[in-house]
Amino acid sequence: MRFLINPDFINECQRNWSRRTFLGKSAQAIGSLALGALLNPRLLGGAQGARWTGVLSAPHFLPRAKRVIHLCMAGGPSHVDLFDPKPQLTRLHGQPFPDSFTKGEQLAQLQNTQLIARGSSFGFSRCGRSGQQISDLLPHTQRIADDICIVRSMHTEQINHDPAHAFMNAGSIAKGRPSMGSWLLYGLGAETENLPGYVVLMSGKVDQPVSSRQWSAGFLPSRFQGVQFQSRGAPVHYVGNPEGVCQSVQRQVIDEIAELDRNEAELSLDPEILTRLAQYELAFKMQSSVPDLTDLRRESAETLSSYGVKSPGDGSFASNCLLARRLAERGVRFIQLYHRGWDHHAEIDPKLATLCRETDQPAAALLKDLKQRGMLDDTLIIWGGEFGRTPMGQGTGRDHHINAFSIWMAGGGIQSGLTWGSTDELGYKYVDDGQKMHVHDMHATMLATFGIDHKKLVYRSQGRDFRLTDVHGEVARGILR
Amino acid sequence: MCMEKLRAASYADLDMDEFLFLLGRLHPAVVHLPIGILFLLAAVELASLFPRGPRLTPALRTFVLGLGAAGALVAVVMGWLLAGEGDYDDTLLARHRLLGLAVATFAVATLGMHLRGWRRGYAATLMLTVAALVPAGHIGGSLTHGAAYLTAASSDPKRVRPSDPAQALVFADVIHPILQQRCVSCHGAAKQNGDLRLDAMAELSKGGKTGPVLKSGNANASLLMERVWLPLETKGHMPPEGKPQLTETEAALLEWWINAGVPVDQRIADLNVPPSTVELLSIHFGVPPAPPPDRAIMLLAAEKLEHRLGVQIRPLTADGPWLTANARLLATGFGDDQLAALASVAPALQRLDLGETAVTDAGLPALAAMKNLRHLHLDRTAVTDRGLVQLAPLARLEYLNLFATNVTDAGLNELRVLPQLRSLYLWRTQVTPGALAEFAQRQVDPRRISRWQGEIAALEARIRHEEFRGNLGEQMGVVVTPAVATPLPSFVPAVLVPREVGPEPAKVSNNSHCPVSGEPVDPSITETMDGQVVAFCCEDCRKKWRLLDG
Repeated sequence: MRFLINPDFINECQRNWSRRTFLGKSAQAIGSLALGALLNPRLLGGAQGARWTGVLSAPHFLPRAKRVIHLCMAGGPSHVDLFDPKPQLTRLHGQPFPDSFTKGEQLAQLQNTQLIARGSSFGFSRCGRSGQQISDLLPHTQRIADDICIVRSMHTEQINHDPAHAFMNAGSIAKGRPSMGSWLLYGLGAETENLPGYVVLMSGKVDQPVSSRQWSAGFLPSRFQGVQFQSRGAPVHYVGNPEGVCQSVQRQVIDEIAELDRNEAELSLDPEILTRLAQYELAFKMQSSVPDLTDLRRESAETLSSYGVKSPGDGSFASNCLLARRLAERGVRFIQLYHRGWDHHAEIDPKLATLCRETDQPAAALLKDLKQRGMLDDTLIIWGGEFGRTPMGQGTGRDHHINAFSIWMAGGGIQSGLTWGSTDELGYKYVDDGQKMHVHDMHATMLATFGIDHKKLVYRSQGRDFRLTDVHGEVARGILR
Repeated sequence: MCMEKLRAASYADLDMDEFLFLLGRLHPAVVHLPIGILFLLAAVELASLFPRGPRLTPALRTFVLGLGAAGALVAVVMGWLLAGEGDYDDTLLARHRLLGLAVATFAVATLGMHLRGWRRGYAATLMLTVAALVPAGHIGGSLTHGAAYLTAASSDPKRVRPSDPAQALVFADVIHPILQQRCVSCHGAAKQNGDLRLDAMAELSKGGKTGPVLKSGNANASLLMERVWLPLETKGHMPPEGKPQLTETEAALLEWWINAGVPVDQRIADLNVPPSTVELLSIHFGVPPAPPPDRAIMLLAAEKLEHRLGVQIRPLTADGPWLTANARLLATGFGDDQLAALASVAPALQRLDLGETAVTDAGLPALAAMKNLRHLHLDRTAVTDRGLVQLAPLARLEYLNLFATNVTDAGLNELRVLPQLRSLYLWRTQVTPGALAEFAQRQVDPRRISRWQGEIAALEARIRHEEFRGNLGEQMGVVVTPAVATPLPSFVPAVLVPREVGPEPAKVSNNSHCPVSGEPVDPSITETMDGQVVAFCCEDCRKKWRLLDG
């Protein structure tokens, strides 16, 4: 041990191991560490322009769904008015809401106010052979009752819009978490390489914008992020070539840029460069695929009228639904349609009727159109908002509600004609009877329809494995066909 | 009198008829004791002829002979009662009765000889007793188990079953052995329950007490299949509960045989046998099933094809051998030649999407090699009715998408041979609603579904019976009901219930035990009263219930 405290040795260390040398040498070491972390051969494979086929070579068990269409009713539709009739609540209308339900619970704007029960002003009917109860505000949805599964026991943890959207999309409100569409692209890739695998469309009043972080890829490589198409006018701007530039010149330009990018990628091993390469390729392909997408000449007038499309590309939900079906046919993996305007803090009766009129017919038409094309069996449709609305009134409206809300799911491996889960007699909270559906459970079930075990689709970031459901989530087996 | 089951709740409640019935049924049990005693006596007498053999004292002889003779007499009486039940072959029965009487008579005579001390007479009658006992016993066995019982297990030297199902004769090698093994013991030469013999084609055609059991070409209407398809617990189910049952394969083969028009002398290869039945025959003949394709080889072939053609061919699951192929996005770049090139992965393909491609009728014969195909998309292609004929070998096909093709009702007809087809998409084709409705009805077997619904109803009744309800009164506010496993969805999808077809599906009753007798119910015997459906264990109870109701 004497040599360790040898003064010569210590001098030697002081001379050779200065801050400068330490920083210089450690940069190499850290670089090597980075290299080790980045040498995921599949990620680097993108450098050669090879298509991404998913980190999973195949689903873990038999897949049913191939794609998802998420009809997000942004703002939070009221469940007691649409899918969860509560006669007890109607009887209690105008009276104080029982304390036993709300004591100690988190409330949004109704915090510290007197809580009065508010019953639904609308009637419900039992529909189809299944006898599912759906509001008379949704006559078209009533007609597809036998094809959908209404989930009444949805609940979430976030009571305001932006965090709730983030929770619904990514399973967490922390920034930098990938959305479910990105997870699917990461896991399985998309069937098409001519269109983005994850497309987002917006419609409805612009009063409450939905942030684009809802479809971000988070810590996953950004090639998996969602791409928002324009719903008004052309879905993608500048798709055509500029004047004087023909397709072959475009191709040359892109090839040259790709060459430069590849050189840079070899030097700096930055995966975002590979994203850039992939996006340029995709953009080139979209020059021909997007005009084909929007060419509605082969759509019959019956189809257009069944969706209720007055003029394609007018920014309506109906037009977006039609586009969604066309995207589904072209191999897009995750199609998300946001329709804003469901945040009914006041005047819920007329506004709810309006929103239902805007969305009921196109949503039902989308399902029926997919069904008659034989595509419903492998397309998962999810209709719902980021949270629900309180059974207590807020003036003439309802406030945000997280303990219970309703969504419906259809197609792709989900049983049809089934009502899953229930809420208490006033529609305040879900009943914990083995049929509850937390947002994490919904994510787990969605992945299960793709044949993916939600516990096995992981990505290592910041030193630990992340998954869409993080450490939560249970597949609702009873809902699967 | 022909009672198949006692109705009394306990032996104390037996009436005279039932008592005699019970005695008769005890004959096979009781008869073995005097047989043993008399044989033992004869053996001991024989052994006593030797100098160092055992010796019998006269008292012992009296005792043993007394037991033997008494036992023989009791057995004769019981046998007489059993004979009264009927259904036994008359010749055999007559012989057995005669011999049995002889045994009893000679046994009594032997006892008499002994008591009188007539040594030689004693020996003679004892020998006669034993001599009569052997054939009597053998015939008794034949009456119970069938004439060929002793030699049934060994193969018939004249007829060796071919190992290749295709070379087998339909009746002699396939159907006859099934009937021989499962039915002929009660419906054959020795015994004809219900006046029915199933041991030869001529007898099969004659039928039994209630009429013909076969309706050539229509298994659904054949009494033979109806009895086989009844739930196991039902009274009329054949073979009866407790006897060896028909396997699923055997029942399916009988069904196919009847539907095919009860062919007798042809070979399997000469008949137009659908692929599903070929599979059944392979199972029945013990031909080992084809092993699933080798995953590694298939994946290599798939990768090569992907490079060459651009088709997406992926494994269906992470560790199974099956593949899914998607050519849709290649559109016109994928045609008949490319389809033929998929031959290298054909056995492993379970899903194939050829929608919007340039595939035509001429390329569809390439699908014949894809024996494991379950999902096939041919929407928006140039396929016509002629092409659909090529889909016949796809015995496993469940999903077929023909949206926007030029298919007509004639093409729909070609799809009848696909036994597993469950989802068929025909929007924008020329198929008419009437033709599709008729096709749908033929694809679904209503009897099988109503049979299964009956089984579900019986199982649900059992679950309800198992629930425990404990109640401590409203004030205590406690009710104990152990959780029942996953609640069943209350809605049965419409597609499973065929409309306007066949007999009405079984009504679901609320009770699991018959209100008249207390026995477990037969869900198919029901009565509706005040909107409630009540099930009974048998017709007799249902009649009694209706009389009570007034």
